[in-house]
Amino acid sequence: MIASAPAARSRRPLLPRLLRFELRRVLRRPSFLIWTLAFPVVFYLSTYANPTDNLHARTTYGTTWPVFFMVSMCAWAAIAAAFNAGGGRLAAERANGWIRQLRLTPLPTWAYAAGEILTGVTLALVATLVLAAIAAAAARPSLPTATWATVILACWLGSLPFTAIGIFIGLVASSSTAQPIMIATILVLNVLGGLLVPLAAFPHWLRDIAKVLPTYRLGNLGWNAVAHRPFDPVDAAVLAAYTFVFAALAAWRYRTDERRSIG
Amino acid sequence: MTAEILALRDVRKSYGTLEAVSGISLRVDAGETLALLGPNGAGKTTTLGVILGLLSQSSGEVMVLGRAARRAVADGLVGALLQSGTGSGLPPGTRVGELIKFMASLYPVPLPPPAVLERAGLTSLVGRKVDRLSGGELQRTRFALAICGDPELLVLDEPTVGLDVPSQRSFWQTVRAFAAEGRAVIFATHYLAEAEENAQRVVVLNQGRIVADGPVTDIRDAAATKQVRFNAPDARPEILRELPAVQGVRATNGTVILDSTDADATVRGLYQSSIAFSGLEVTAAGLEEAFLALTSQEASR
Repeated sequence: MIASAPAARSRRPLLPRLLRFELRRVLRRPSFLIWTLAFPVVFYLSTYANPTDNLHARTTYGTTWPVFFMVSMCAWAAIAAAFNAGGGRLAAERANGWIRQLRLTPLPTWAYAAGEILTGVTLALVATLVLAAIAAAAARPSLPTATWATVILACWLGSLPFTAIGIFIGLVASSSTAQPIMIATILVLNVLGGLLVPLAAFPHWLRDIAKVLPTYRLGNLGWNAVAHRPFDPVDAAVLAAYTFVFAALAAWRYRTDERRSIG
Repeated sequence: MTAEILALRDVRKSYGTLEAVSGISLRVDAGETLALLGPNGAGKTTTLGVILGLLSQSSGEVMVLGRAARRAVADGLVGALLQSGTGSGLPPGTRVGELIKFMASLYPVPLPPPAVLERAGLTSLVGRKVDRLSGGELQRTRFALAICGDPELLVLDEPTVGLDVPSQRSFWQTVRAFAAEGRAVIFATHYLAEAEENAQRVVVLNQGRIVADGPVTDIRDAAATKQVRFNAPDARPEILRELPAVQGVRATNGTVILDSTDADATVRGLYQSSIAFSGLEVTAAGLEEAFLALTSQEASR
């Protein structure tokens, strides 16, 4: 019998604990929800609730405009959530010393990274669901359950590259510049990706640019689903490529930042 | 034999052409509380960074509990409270209790969170948001983070900077109680008084080198040293060294500086000697001179 044996601890696995810890912190900040959901909700409702607009009758991209735009705004919400989950917060926590404190615990780097990514995609899912719920309540689009599920799944999985980009920006930017950079990046990428105005309205050269953007590719996953067009593997490939590149950049930056973390 | 907790062997660390740490060797045993004393830029923070594995040394060896620094941290054997500049070092949006619970959960054998809170004097602040802590409370919370893993080695970098006197006192009480349990504590400071009051052993760093390493009492004596300065172009160092209470002699361009443990005796001796001198001046030695005096003492033993 060892009298001093540590008491048996029933512990949840590491990642769920990290996720819970991070989610709780992010969701306590009202600014997160405002920056993430304000744009898409306001865009969606103001466009949709304008009854004199002939947009409603218009066919866009093989579906009706309201459904098309709903998918765009779900994508927007997912993208903004994934970005904001990491970005500004990470920059602030690098500056204030919290990240360094974490480096001084047994928490492995991979687990920390996985926790941040998990936080990003979870918040993206929550934001997508909120947007979808608002759209469903406001517009009652008659979509089959499978199509709803596909749109939500697309936004959720498609948020991965944006989580990676957000983390990368959070690791590069200073705590005062991260938030503006983040907001500007979201706006530019989303508008150029055709989430606000469909690509059809773009000049040709701009369409070519849009097609290599992850925002367009995420939108396209959803648009294809609601228009009953087949899944385009190029969408997944482009999103995967962005995920890979920015995850690698973030990992590199985390390592060089480590050397910089002490005077 | 006491257990070795930390061993540095000829550790050097340079940033480009600047050498911040120039060959430090040091051994710290279980139960020791060691103060790393030195002026700003002496290499204290860099040395602690290497001990914690945040920086990798340019050359030399660092062993913490018989393993590489990084490994010791990963094994949860080391706790640290570092300078965080203007930031709090705490994650915004958490409550004190949540934070301690989360941190403890990262360690293989943590101190139970209620025990951590009690030692750090935070029991009444469990539900407080970390964004709403006062300076002293903040530092106690950061101390709590450092002890969550029940560390064998506790590293503190200028832990009381910016605290008011009562907060400093209560902070050090907490640290001393923790050290009394047989753990090794190493802390950096540029206040001699802080080193004297809270450490048994003081290592003095200057320009990346250890200039003194000894019990706190030796350092105290050294700090009592005065400087006797005068012009004497013809004085021979051998003669000067024979003057009463002289610990060190430096002569440049006819200006002589003597480090003396009893300036009155030295000056009396100087007048009684045959040395021709002018411009006599007696000043309290700066900490640095005191350290130099101490090293020369060490050398003459």
